Amino acid sequence: MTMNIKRLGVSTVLALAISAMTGCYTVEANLPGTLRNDLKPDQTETVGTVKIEKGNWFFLWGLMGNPPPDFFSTELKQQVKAKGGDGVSGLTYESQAGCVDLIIGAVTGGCISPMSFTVSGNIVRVKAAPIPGKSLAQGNASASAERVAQAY
Amino acid sequence: MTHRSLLFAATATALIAGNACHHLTTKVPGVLDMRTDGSGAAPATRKAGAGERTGFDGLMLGEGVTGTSELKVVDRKYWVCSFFPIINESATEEIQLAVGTEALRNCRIGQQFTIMNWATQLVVSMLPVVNALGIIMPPNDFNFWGTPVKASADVALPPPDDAVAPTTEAAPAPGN
Repeated sequence: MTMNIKRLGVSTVLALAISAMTGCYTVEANLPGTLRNDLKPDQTETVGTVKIEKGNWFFLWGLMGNPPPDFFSTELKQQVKAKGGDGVSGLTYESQAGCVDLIIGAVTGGCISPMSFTVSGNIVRVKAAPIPGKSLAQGNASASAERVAQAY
Repeated sequence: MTHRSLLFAATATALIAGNACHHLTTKVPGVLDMRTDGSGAAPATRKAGAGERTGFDGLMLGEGVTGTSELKVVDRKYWVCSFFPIINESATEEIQLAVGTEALRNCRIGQQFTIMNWATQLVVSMLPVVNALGIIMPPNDFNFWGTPVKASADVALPPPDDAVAPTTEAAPAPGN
């Protein structure tokens, strides 16, 4: 019995140490491409909007259940490609725990904690040369090059 | 239950149902150019310590912009009663400082509840006037990462492999 209590104590301390080292409710999602601040307003043309709404379930007070690195990037690329854009301007990241999320978290004592995430922005065509690097979508980049050529 | 209690309960329920807790909104400045990954661009130099918060400011508001080859933006957020954001609402200016007039590649966005958030909450909860009713909930860190690179193509390094998107040099001149 005493051994079990000791083991429980050691496990708790270890869990706390791990949480202290790594943090809880961690989100680290890749954004595809490059974030440019050198473009002037007349170098972009808005062709639509993008909105990605996703939920994620965290477990054990946020120690487990972190979303994957491509949490937003895959859908972001798909939506931009579908509208013939080159990128996104006015990108906005939002996260929140909604009413249902709070109820689930409260009922489970934080063992299960859902959260909602939204990424939105304007899909744009870029009338400037891309930054040198590996093409994220060869066909898309070629189309962009044609538009750049036409602009010149 | 009195009429007032019912009204209070209904208002509280409507507030909770209509809003969300720990609502974090950050607008990222600039344009996310998704044509290339920027791996062939020259690295941009950045003044060390620019935008970095240290001491009490760093403890309360997050470390700001840290790093040189890879930048990390840390912005600490607070809410009253979990609903209303107070102090340091937006991380846009910190990201703006990180990107400058150039570009960032390998960008990541996210958030985390760290041991510092927990410690901050613990300290704040002990202040009798500031947090008399315990209404300031645990803070949360917004994070943004990126590697600074030159945005202009004329200073670009040779690309790492053959899969390279075309640049303006490849574009034909007008009338040709």
